[in-house]
Amino acid sequence: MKEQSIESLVKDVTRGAVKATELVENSFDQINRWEPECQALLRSHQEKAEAQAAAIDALTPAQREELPLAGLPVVIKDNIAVEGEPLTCASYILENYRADYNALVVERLKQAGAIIIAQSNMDEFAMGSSTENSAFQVTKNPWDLTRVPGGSSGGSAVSVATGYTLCALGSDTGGSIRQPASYCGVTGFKPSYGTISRYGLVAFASSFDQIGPFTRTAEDAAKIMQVLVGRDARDSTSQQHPWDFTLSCEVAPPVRKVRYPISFIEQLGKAERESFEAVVQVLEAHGVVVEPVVSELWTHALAMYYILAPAEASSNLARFDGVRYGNRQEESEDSLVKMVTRTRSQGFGPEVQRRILLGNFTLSAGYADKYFQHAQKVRNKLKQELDRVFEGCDLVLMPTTPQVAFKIGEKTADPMTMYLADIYTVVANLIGAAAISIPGPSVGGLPFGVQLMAGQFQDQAVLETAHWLQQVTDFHRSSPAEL
Amino acid sequence: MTKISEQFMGELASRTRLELSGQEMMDLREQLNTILGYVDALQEVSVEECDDSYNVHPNALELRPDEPRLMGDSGQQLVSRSVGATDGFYRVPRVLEQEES
Repeated sequence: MKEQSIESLVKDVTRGAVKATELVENSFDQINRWEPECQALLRSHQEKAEAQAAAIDALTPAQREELPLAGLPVVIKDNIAVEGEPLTCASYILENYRADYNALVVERLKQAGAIIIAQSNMDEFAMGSSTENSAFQVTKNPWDLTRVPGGSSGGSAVSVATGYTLCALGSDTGGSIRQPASYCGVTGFKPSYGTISRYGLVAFASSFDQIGPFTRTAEDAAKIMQVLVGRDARDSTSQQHPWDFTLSCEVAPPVRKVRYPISFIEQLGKAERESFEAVVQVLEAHGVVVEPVVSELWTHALAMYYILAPAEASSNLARFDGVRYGNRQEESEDSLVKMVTRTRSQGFGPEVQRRILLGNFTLSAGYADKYFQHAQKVRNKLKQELDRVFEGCDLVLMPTTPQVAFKIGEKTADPMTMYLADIYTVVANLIGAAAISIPGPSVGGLPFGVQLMAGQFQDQAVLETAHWLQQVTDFHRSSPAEL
Repeated sequence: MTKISEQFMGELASRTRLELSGQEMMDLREQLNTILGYVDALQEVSVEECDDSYNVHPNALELRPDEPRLMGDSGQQLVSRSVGATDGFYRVPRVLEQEES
């Protein structure tokens, strides 16, 4: 299954050459093989998946023709609502909460014939870069079990890297799809803000959050995007746009000029720089002009992000009070304030508490002008600067991360060091741009991603270029050694 | 450079409804001050003539009609998700604090 594209797999299911039940069985074989070591999933749904697969197999080929993802097993990050199933965001505070409705993306996947086989582990409320902040388990990187898979969508990245599935959904607020995709050697796409409805996604930072797919290839990501995109009245930020994710199979590169931020490249270690330059050489060998660009503001992107995103999070997470959702910690003499305080203190983990406090501080009277308002102004300035960069080129190319996956526990004691893992990915979220991480040449035997970013709603250009690169290289074909 | 004082840290914890031990308070204050030390570099950026309201995309938001509606057959399904639900209502502890005797 791992070697096949989603398109060809669905065709096989549609004409009856492969049964959906076989695909589900294959997924659970891989889950049984890897899951004891990797712990990527918070729960799986084998019986329900088998029943759905059997129902698809019972359809006629003509009926299956109507289902663009007929029989495709998929994994969903546990901050996206699946009706009737737990929705924990990997947090104790939502440990016993179940979703009352399907997220728009889940609705669309189901209508397209996809089968939800499992829900994946993540950093609590998507806050983290290693999936170590889950309240329930630490997910391991299948390339080296002593290393993190990245985060916050670490479980979804591992699900694709190990072959549980050809598609897992994640969410990306500051790099939470692209960074784990880079660490796990898979393709991770963050669509433009407004491309996919976030109805049913638990909010972290609402002006940054986007749902997107993990796949093995950009071609597969485009196939999934075709199903997920579109205006949805239940998310007022989702946009009407003439989307078309049909990819061309041109031999010539779909871009003429690409720029890379020189300051980011200068910060790289020798091996990481060589990996990045190998991708540059591929582009140049095919006639693409690749030139450096200087940007003062990109170096400040992480600072902007760590003021604005926690501020939004502190507001979004105020709703978790033990009254309406999830766990409640209460003693008989507690007042309302005491119960809410007890619930939140015991329900939120350290990283979530840190960001709530930080966000509350930067919004405080006396500090809001200096931090929040100032950062919003710089965000506007960054957007203008990036608009000018994109006027002179088709795409921006940069590494996804400064380094390969780090060791489990290596950065947990120092939050600031952990935050730096997102230094190259936050730019796309700040400006609402489309960006993808695809595997580049490995570094020391571990995956190392390269990131392509374009302006807002240039999603197809990003996918088209990534697809072309994956036609002329084979970096994306590597997989972790089977256990 | 801005530093969060011990007293203000206590205020933040109270406002966010988080109960922190003395050690947690100390560790978090140190970590937040390190983060503020990093983000303070943003002050170097001149923002004259920059708008402080930000829209991620240029298109106006299309809002749905502000009409009350029930989820499913009734709101009871949502209320029942609360561990403190009683007789179809959310139950909360007493709101007024008791005076210390």
